[in-house]
Amino acid sequence: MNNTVTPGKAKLVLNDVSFYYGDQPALKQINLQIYANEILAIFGPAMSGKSTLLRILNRLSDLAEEGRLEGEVLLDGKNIHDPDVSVIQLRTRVGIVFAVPVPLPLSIRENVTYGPLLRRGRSKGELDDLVESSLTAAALWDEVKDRLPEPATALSGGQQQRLCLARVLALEPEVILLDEPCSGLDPISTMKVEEALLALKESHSIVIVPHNVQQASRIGDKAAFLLMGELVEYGVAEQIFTRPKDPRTDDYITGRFG
Amino acid sequence: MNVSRYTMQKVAFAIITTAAISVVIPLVLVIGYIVAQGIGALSWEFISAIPRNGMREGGIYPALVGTLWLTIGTAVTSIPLGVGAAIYLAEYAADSWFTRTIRLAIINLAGVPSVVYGLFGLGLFVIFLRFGMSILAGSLTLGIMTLPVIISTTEQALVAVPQSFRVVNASLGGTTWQGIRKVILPQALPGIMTGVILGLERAAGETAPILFTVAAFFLPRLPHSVFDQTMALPYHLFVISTQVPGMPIRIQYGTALVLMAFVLTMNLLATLIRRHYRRRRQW
Repeated sequence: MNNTVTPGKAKLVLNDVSFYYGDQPALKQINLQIYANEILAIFGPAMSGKSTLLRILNRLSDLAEEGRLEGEVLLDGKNIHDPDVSVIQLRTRVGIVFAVPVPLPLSIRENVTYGPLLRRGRSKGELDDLVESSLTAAALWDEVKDRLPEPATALSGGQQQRLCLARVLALEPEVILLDEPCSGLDPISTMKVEEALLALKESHSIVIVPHNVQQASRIGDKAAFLLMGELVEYGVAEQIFTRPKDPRTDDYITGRFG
Repeated sequence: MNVSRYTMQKVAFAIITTAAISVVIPLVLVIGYIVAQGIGALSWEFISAIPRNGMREGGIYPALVGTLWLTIGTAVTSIPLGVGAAIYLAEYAADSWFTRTIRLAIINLAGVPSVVYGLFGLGLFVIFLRFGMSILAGSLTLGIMTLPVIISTTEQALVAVPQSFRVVNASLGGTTWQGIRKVILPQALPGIMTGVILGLERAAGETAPILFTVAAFFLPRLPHSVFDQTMALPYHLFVISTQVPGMPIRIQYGTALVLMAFVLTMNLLATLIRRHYRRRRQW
C-alpha cells in the first residue's frame, strides 16, 4: 500500500495497530499518520472498526472488557501506552465527541467546566473566559449565553452536540476526535458543527468519523477508507473521492455497497 | 376464538385486581385496629414521661429515646460500610471469584434470622469485645443486620445511573473516583437514601437483635452514654404485652401505635425524598 502523505511531523502515528475484542479482530495492522491543522475523515461501512480506531487514540479502548491492542500509537513521537504516560492527561490532550450527545446531568456551564475543574488551579475569571471561548468556538455561545445555569438537557439535540464539542474544547486539547457527531442532527445543526470544525482545524488536529461519504468529502483534508478492520486506502481526500486507487473504495463511494 | 381471548383477559384482570386489593386489606385492618385501640392512651405525658407503677402507668419516654438512639447508632455503623461496599461492587469490582464471594456473603447475610444476629452480637460485641449490654453493642448488631439491605439498594441505585456518564467522565480526563463523586453519586443519591431509610426502619422495629445486646427490661431513665443500656420500643412492647400481669390494653396498643408511627414517619420521609429528587432528575 503506497499512501500519499503530507511531509512534516505527524501529530499521531499508528504503527501496525491491531485491536481485538476477545478473539475477534476489529482492526488489522493499521498504519496511519495524523497531522496538525488537518481534518482526517475515516469512513467505511458499519462494523469496519472506525469507532474502535478513534477510541484507541485516547485509550478509551482501555475500558473495553476483553479488549487487546497490538502495535503502537505515538503522540508527538511518544508511545501513549508507555508506563510513564498518564491516561488521564492523554484524554485531555486527545478529546472525543460521541455520536449520541451525552450532556452530564449538570448545568450548561458546569458541563463546559467539568473537564477543566477536574484539574486544579483555575480562577473563576479564567473559567468564565474558557466557557465563553469554548462555546463560541463550538458555535453555541450566542444561543446559550443567557441561560448558562439551566440544565444542559433542556437544550435541543443539535445544541447538545455542540455543547459536547465545547466541553471537549474546554480541555484545550491538541487533537479532537469525533465519532459521527452529526448522525442525529438536522442539516442546519450539521452545517454549524462543520463550520465550527473547519475553524478549529486552524489550531487542532481533527479526526472525524463522518456519518456519510458526502460529509467526508465536504470537510476532510485527508481520508481513510476502512473495510472489515482493514485500512484499504488513505490519502488526500479530494483524490480519494474523485480517483480512488482501490476498486473497493470506488465501489463504496459510488454506492455499490455499504 | 377472539371472544375467548377477550374473556380470558377479563378473567385474568379480575383475578389480579382482586389480588392487588387483598394486599391492602390486612394493612388497613392492622393500622385501623391499632389506632382504634391505642389512640386513647396517647397524650403528651405518654410520650414524655417515664413509666411508673411497674410500667402500668406513666409513659414510654425512655423507650422512645432508646429506639431513636439505636436508629442513629445503626445509621452511623451501617451507612458508611454499606454504601462503601456498594460503590466498590458497582463501580470498581470486576466480575471475579472474589466479588462473587462477596455477593454470596451479602445474600446469605440477608437470609440470616434476626435472632441469630442477636446471639452473634451477644457473643462478639457484648462478651468478647466487652462492650456489655450497651447501645454500642446493639447498634453494631442492628447495623450488621441492616448492611445487606443498604448494600443491595445502593448498588441498584448506582447501576441505574447510565453507563454513558462514566464514559464521558473518563473521556474528559476524569478518574473513576471523580466520576463517582461528581456525577454518579449525586444521581444515585435519592435511591440510596430511600434504601438506607427502609433499612433503618426495619432495624428500628426489630426486637430479637436487641434482646441480648442492649434492651433493658425496665430502666426508668435515659441512657448516659453509648456504653449504657437502654429501653427500646419493640422490646418494651414485648415486655408489657407478655411479661407484666394486669397491664392495661390501651398502653400496649398505645406503645404499638407510637412504634408504628415512628416507622411510618421514616417511610414517609423516604417517599418524600424520592419524589423531591425524581422531579429534579434530568435524564
